[in-house]
Amino acid sequence: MSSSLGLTLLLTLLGFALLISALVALALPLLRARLALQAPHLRARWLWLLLTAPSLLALVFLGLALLPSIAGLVFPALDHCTTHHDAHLHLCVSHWSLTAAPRWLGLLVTSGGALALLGMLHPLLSYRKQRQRMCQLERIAQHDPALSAYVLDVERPLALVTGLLQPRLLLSLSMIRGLSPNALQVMLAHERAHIERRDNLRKLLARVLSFAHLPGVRARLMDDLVLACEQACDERAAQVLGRTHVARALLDAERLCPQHRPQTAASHFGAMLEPRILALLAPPVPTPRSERYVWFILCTGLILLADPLHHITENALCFLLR
Amino acid sequence: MPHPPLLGELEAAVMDYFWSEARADVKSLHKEVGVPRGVTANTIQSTVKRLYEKGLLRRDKVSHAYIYQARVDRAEFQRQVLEEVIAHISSEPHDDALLSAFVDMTERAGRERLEQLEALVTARLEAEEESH
Repeated sequence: MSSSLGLTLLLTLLGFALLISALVALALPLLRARLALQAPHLRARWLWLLLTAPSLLALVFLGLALLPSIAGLVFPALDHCTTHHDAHLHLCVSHWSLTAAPRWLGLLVTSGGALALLGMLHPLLSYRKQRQRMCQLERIAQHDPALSAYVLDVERPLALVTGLLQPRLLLSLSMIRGLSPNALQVMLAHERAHIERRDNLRKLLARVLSFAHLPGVRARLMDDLVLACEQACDERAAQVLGRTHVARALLDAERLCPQHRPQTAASHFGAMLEPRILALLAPPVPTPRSERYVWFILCTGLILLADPLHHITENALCFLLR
Repeated sequence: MPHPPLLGELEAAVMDYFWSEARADVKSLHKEVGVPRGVTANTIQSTVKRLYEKGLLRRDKVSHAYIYQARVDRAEFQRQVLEEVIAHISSEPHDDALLSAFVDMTERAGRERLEQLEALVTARLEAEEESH
């Protein structure tokens, strides 16, 4: 019974994940167009939710689909399982009918689960390898208390934040010496904003939990998230010295880096400099006064969805398993 | 050095000492690095031996003891480790996203477009200064 219960729950979860990722893929152009009008910090939040929707929202839907049965446990008067006929599959934690899934479906679901696990592990393993090297850099760098940063004596201009739970700022001497005092101040404000926002953790979680998206959708949303995070930090830095000075600092830092290529098709990240500069030269996007009403409506809608979702899911499972 | 070796915390502390102080034997190293960390002389000896085997230290025998010094200077080692990080990011572009860099570490903007953007920013700065 327990393996059948586990299989059914996994099938339900994977089904929700695939359905949500398909919906996001279909609505992607519209979603991106709407998000482009948002302030960067809000855009980053919504993009993170879109990326993680197949994982997190699937779990929420599974919980909602099980909610009527959980309510039946707590309040027996709400138990509706007795109204079903015996052949009906119960998505229920207490009235679990023995369901023998066809072998092919069992194999398919188990394979799907294994693929999902691999999809989540891959970015974690890749990050772990990168993190070993970044820790190495931190250990051999020299800590500068005045800048609250770790400084490397290397020619390559470098200014980045590394680490997830205790992010640290890593700079190169060439970057510190190459920038004007204003540009240095902007750069430090920008990088400190990344630390406060925990952007590295945000992006890693997005990569791990976005495994169910189509590869093209995932790549596009990740690029949008990275850009939104950078722009959110540009906006924070702009509070220190002004938007145009942040744009100037970005260009100064770009000029410090060697090997300017002749213009070619936009590269993966090199293309981010232009939208950042243009956004800084444009007026700031206003932030809506309150989003709480949006969240309240969403949560209320989801709870109201619990009962119909429960029955739709049961019928879908009946169709697949019987 | 094809792939710079990974250093643990104690190894990094020992290398930091050699990069600052140039030469030392195990006894003085233990006094300066081991004692503040509550680490025994044997542990320091093993660490120094590992660093020697990794090619980061050279040694000369003076009387009955070895005197050690760094084979590679700090800046050069930092450069090698950083280049390896950059090489990894170039081969796994999406890992760049997991660091938050002020400007991209591996890809550069096109020269022509950069000049256009600079012209825009310069014009805006001049306009702002005039209006003040």
